[in-house]
Amino acid sequence: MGRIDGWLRGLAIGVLLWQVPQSHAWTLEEAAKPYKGVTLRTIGESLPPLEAMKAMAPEFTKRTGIKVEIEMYEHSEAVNKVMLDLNSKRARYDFILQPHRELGKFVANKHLQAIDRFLDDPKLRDPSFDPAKVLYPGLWKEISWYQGKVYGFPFTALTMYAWYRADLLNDPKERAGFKAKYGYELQPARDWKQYRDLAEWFTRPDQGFYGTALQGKRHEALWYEWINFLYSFGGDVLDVKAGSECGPVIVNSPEAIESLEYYKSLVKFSPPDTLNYFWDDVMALMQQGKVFELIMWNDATYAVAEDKEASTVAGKMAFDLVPQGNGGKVGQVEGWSYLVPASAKNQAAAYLFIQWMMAGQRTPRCLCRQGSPEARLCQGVDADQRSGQAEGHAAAVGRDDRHPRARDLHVPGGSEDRQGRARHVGEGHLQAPGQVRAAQVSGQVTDAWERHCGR
Amino acid sequence: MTASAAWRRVAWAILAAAVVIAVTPYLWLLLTSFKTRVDILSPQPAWRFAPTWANYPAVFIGKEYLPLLWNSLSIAGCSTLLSLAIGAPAAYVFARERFPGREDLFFFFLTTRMAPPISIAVPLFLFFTATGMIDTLYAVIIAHTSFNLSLVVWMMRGFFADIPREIDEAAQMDGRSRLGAFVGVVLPLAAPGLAATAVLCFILSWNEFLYAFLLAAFEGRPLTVGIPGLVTPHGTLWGQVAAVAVVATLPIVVFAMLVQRHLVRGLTFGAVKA
Amino acid sequence: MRPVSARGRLLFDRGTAWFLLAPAAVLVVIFLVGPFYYMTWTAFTDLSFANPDQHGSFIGFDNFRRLMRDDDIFWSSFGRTLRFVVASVGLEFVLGFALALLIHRSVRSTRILLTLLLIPMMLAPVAVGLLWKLLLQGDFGMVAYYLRSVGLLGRDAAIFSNPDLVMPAIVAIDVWQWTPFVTLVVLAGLMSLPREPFEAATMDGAGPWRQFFDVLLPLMRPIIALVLLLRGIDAFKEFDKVFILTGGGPGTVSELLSIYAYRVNFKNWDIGYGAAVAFMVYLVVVVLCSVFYKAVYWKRSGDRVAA
Repeated sequence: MGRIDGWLRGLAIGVLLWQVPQSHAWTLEEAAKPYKGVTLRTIGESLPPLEAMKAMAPEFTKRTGIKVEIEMYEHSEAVNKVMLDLNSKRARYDFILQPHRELGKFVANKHLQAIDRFLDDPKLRDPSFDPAKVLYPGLWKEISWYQGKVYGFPFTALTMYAWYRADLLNDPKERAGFKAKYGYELQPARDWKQYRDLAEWFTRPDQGFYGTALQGKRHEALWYEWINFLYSFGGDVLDVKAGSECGPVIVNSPEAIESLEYYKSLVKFSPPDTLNYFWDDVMALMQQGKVFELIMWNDATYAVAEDKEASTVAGKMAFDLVPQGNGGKVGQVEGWSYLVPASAKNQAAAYLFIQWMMAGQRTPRCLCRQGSPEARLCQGVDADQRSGQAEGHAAAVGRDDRHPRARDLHVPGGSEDRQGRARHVGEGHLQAPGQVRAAQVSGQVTDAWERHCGR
Repeated sequence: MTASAAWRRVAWAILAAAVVIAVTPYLWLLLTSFKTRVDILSPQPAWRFAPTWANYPAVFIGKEYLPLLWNSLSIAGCSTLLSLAIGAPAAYVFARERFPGREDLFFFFLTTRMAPPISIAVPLFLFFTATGMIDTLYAVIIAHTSFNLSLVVWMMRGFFADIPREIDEAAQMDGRSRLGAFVGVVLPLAAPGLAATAVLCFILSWNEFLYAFLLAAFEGRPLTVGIPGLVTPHGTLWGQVAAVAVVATLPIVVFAMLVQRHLVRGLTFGAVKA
Repeated sequence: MRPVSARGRLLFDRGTAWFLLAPAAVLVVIFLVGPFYYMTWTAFTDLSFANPDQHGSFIGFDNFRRLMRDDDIFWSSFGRTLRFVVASVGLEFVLGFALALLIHRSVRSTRILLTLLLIPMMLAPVAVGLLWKLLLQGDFGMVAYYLRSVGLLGRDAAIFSNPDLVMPAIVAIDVWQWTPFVTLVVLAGLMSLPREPFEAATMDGAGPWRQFFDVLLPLMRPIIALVLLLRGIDAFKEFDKVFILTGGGPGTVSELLSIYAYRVNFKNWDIGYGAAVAFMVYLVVVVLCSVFYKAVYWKRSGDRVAA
């Protein structure tokens, strides 16, 4: 008896010993058990990354029994829907995908759940998921953190860089003509003077061809384009280190005004309709082969440089950093984040899904090819992709702490105040060149910024 | 005789020009819906091109916009019926009864059209959220019904006023109740007016954007709310926008064609006597 | 003329009348008046969805003071909106009236003609905005191309980037969209006019111009009023087309009141101030309309309306 007892005990201990580490090994299926049957609902901008998420979600549902419903709206529709949802506390969404600029507003109004709570929870946290390793730290800190707290993970990583027509840059006739006129080689611009020289050289209205095209419409696009110039010229809106900080309003500094004057000077090398363009129009122009150079978003790269169906200049594009001004090398950090509303009903399940999206190497190839608007480096994509290199280069600059980053303001407050800037840029165009008054942001707008910063 | 013939020719020329101006943009939309992106963006207008059918399935199947058509139909159909069912009796009272403050009340109905929708939208959103009706088709239907009511009351009042009072009275003498006289005798007589009003209500509700965007759930959103989703930072999907717009106008054109005769006669009835 | 006795008599008892009126009244009170009063109350608070310290406390007339004194954008968009309403409704009225007269005189069967003419007003405003962007876009716009080729538009001119052309273009698009509506309603009116006054005028030897001004216009007065009022109200609220076409730009040259209100409410989330803006818009429209309404309808004596 005793022997059998001992044997049994031994077996039991053995089984226990064998099982204990097993029960501690984290699996998604195990972690998701309590949330089986839950339906998560989210909302975002109707673009390929979200379509990709929709395509991937069934796999998550298969493993966990958690369903995912995805609502896809136009950019401002997605933002407005969320804003109303959060303010009415109806808690329709379990997690949301929102652009950088909204973050401060959400946090200050206590609409968001900080996610350190989930990261620290051994039941939820996948031990193999180390965000600091897979994400660009600069990007993550800028777009998903606010005043030292983490609220989510990047969903898309956006930046802007300079696009050139490679075929024209390499054209011997153009090269000779350009050198004769400007005294240096035809090449991607090192600084803003060269950028304007290029624009001037290639502006040939009689052939319907223009040096560049500005996104001058009264629209968010204008703001995002102009801040490349602003930061590169060494200016800023607020005198701060990160977008979540408040500081003295310096948007009327000499550097800022100079950048606006320069920006305005490019109007004459742009098509006549340039004050009604936003991101869509300049992209269409480039696809039609009507423009030599642009400063444009990384996630439009595929449609212009690769997609032969939609673009007449596929395979003819070259990319480089935005030209350097007194502000040095500048890259823009922008992107949408996964965020969890404080009022959300299924926060833990939402976290599991977000973590699942962030962890494995789940980015579909097609997405990487779209100019990789991904928060992580796309691996396994054709290494010789020119767009991929430019993206990596611009992103590296934008996300490296050593370089100044062009970034959106995201202190609380309305985006109309931010757009107020865009409006002034637009009005600046209408004034005679050299009129500095138009480049000054009015007191009304600076007051609003100061108000939002609590002064 | 010759002068009148010449006049006739001029008149027809002007009318033809008007039709061309009215229709050409729509025709262009129709053509655009069968074009590839390269043809759409062609600097010289492409009147002849190799047509593609891809835009229609791309948006209605690929982007799952087909249910939106059904949502549009349910919202516009229900709210039109509801506005008529609620507005016509009220209009009848305004046409037949005299009571103190009638004109003020009537004018008050009109003023409800005058508030900017953007200001009413946020409170309405909060109200429907509080009552739990948000994200249902009912919320949109009710919202559309309330802003269409003023139109119904205004137009139908004129139609009823045009029907001689003696007809009501005769019907009542024949032993019908007062309500029975309204429903059984007056309402059928006002049918052309109802048709005309219905078309206008339908068009307004079908094309409305803001309330539908704020109050409907994602699954319940109508076509108008879906259209901006085709304008993306990766380019406006012009072919698909055109396909949606073409399909979206068809029901109205058909509806308007069907009641066309009534439309003109109906407006005749109402407006002059309003 | 009806017997006097019928006139004063109630056709319904009070209960039935209220029964018929009540649903409409209830609906309007709950879904329009309610929100409207909420909005009016909000206009006296500092409510903001964006700013954490503004929870909607009562601030008296501060919003209105800011509106009256400091808000130059409000006032400039106000003037712009008035000009837009006058220009577009005026043009629509003249053109629509002329077309209706022409159709009335020279077309027997209006079925196909009217359906074709009505197409512009059947398109959703969102679609109209995008359609005209497609037509007038400087680089691939079909209409812009032909305007250039006949020399109406310079090669280097672009409609929506030129501050002098933006508003006229928007007015033109509005005219394109809504003239058919005016034609439809006026035509309906023309078809219902009695013949006798015209015959009498012809007997008196009045020429076509005299007939038009002395007989036709007075008879058409209620319908003219109806059209102007409906179109005026809607033009004042114009939003979708302009928002899609220009977003109010370049600069602020096409910023209408409704676009400004949208920016305050949905971009800045400054709900209290936005309510004040909306309230002012409402007030102006109501005052203008009631003056107009009284002038046209009530002056013509109550029994016309009572009919």
